[in-house]
Amino acid sequence: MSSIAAEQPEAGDNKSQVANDQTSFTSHVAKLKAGEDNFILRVLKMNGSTFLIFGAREHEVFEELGMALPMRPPSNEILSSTILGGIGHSDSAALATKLSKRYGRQFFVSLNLKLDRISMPLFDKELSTYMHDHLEYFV
Amino acid sequence: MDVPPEIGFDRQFGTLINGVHTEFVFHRFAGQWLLLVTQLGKIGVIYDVSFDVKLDARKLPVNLKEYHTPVVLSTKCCLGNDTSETVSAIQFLANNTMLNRCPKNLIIGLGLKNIETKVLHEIAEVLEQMVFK
Repeated sequence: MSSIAAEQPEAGDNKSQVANDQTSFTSHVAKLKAGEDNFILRVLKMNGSTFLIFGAREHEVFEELGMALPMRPPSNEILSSTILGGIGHSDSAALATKLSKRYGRQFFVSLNLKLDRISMPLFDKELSTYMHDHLEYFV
Repeated sequence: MDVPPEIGFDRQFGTLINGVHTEFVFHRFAGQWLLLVTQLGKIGVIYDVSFDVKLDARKLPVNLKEYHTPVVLSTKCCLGNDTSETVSAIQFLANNTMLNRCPKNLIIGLGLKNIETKVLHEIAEVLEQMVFK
């Protein structure tokens, strides 16, 4: 496969990486805990937007997807939508809205966890703390 | 090919497709597969692809000129413009790669500058070599 070989950078050859990585993405995975619930967070940081996927540690699914993005200035409103699964304004879209407002960036969120009124605040706190401590993975 | 030092998915890398830097992300969830292929630095369109026949009864596509049989699938555009070119691209990739072995739903995000035969053949080859091999 010539196209793959052509872009194979040599070890430590940062120049070739920079030349070809104009749209380079980064990704990250973390195992987090909210109360008694364990969950996995997968993050894909793209140019100007971030994709977050939350799933239970023992059974990771992808059943819901929400998206939110800030409107252009001078408006400070957030546009959001449920793209996949969910009914009405899904938990995924709600979380995407919250993050988009906080970081001024487009967020795609797939929240595949069963959270209730007790576990949701714990989840929020765990996520906020983790994002604050590892901001480079997200924005 | 450029693979970052740490990845959060089964596969994540960048490579050249028809001379254009293209990002690939692939992950198998329980039932669903997620595939992102983009040359735009962001997700262009998102499709929810479901296969009309369950995996154990699904027939493999036949890529012979005389007896061409595609894998039967349904596409639902969830984000972006629903165009016949994009649907055809998805059908091509399902016919020519192991994407047709997806157990349930395939969530596919595409952001291609040009949808043309050469580009699709190269993407299919990269998927077979770098994702499914």
